[in-house]
Amino acid sequence: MDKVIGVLQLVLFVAVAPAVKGFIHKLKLNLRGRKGPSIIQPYKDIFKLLRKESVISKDASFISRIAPILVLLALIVNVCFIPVFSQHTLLSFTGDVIAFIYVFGLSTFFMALYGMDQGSAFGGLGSAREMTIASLAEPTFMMIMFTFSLEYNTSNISEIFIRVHNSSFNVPIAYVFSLLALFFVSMAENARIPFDNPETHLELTMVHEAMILEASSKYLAIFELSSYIKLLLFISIASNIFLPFLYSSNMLLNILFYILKIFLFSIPISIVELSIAKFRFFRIPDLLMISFTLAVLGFVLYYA
Amino acid sequence: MNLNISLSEFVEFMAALSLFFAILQTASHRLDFAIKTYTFQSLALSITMFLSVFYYFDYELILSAVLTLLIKAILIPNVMKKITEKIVEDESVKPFINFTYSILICVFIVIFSFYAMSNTFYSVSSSSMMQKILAIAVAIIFVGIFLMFARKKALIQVIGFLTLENGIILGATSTVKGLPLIVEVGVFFDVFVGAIMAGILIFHIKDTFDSLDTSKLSDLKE
Repeated sequence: MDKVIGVLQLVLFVAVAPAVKGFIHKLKLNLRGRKGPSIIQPYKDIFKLLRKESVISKDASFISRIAPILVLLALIVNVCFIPVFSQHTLLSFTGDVIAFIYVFGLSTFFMALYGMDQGSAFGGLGSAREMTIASLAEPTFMMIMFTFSLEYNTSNISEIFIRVHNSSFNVPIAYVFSLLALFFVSMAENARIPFDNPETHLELTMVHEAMILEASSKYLAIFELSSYIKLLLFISIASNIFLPFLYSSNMLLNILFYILKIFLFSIPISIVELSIAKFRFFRIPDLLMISFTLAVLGFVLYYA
Repeated sequence: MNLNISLSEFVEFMAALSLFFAILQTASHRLDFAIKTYTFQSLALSITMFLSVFYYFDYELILSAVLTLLIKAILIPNVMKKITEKIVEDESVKPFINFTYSILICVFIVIFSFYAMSNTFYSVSSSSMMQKILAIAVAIIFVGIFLMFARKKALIQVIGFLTLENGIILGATSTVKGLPLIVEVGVFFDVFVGAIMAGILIFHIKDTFDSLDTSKLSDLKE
């Protein structure tokens, strides 16, 4: 039964991920006074891409064929760590916070390799920028996770979330700093607005788009899907820690609450994207250092 | 579901927010942003002081909280803004130590002051909340000092001094339940006059050297 629920969580997670992206995009356009595509547009995009013919550069090595799948797999392994709407996760017996962060690192690594593999100038540029941002965001993410793991006396990632829920809202107020830091990190890792603009292909500034510029058809579909999953992973971490789910025996209620929660937590993303412009690339280290400061403040304030 | 946020935790949070805004000042590239951050920092400080009233039941603190709000969050930022509008043509903050390093150094300052304060006699006699706020106050003082020597522009050095002063007030609130009223009013007056004097001095620096860059003060004039 536990395994069934685990698989069900994974399926729900992957199924909901494109809708969250669609929701953020739609909300952003609505707030600007435009109509915007419907929430199910990302699903349509993925199905459209799957039907198209795939073209791979003749200079591409086997990396170009395996990298998209490995990126997606790494993220799916991470999904298996975190409880979505129930405490029975597929990989609850293993995986501590460090593994969690480095599996993220693995997906970023293969993404960067893919960018460089096809020999286009933009790919290498995008990879270089992505690795810069990822390496600066990692210590912050680690600091946030260590805060939680010390607080709940466990380094097992699933166990942290379960203990958060069992402690029933009794969270220290210093977590507000951790939440803010986590927000910065998720914006950086998901290539969203202060760090990168996900909507444009402006050659001077693109980061994420530059890496997948050469991808087509099913490979592009996989990349798109993994970027949706990555975004939802961060939203799920934030929402599960700062707004713990109800532990009711009614599974349907849990699922509904989870979906409500992730849509609630994706609202700030669209509001921030609406209100500020993309930062200059050389300002990004400052921004990430500020998020590191926030993480350290959250950490120090609770353990001093 | 019981929302278990106690008053002392909230006071701590506001004090830490004040510290965060102090650190944000070292990351600001422009003078107007630094002034805005100073406003928020003072606002967080005055909320901290106001909430400490309910912790200590010492009603003189209300007066200091209101004075902080009026003088530090409204009056001084406006004076500073006027000065920037009048004389500053180039709003950039010229750093001696660049912004990323500044923030990292501030992180170390925070860790150091929490470490240093964990061994004081307060850890025995006083409650842990006040010990944390004392550590935060010391961190704000250090960040203010750091801001004073890490930036070239005279105006941001003044902001650094005001930050330091905020730290001292916070430390006084946390350890001895605020200074005596007469001292407190004196300090506020001192700070306000100090800010105005610094403004006049900045006018003179600008007049004599055609720049607010303090590293040019040692240039020879004919």
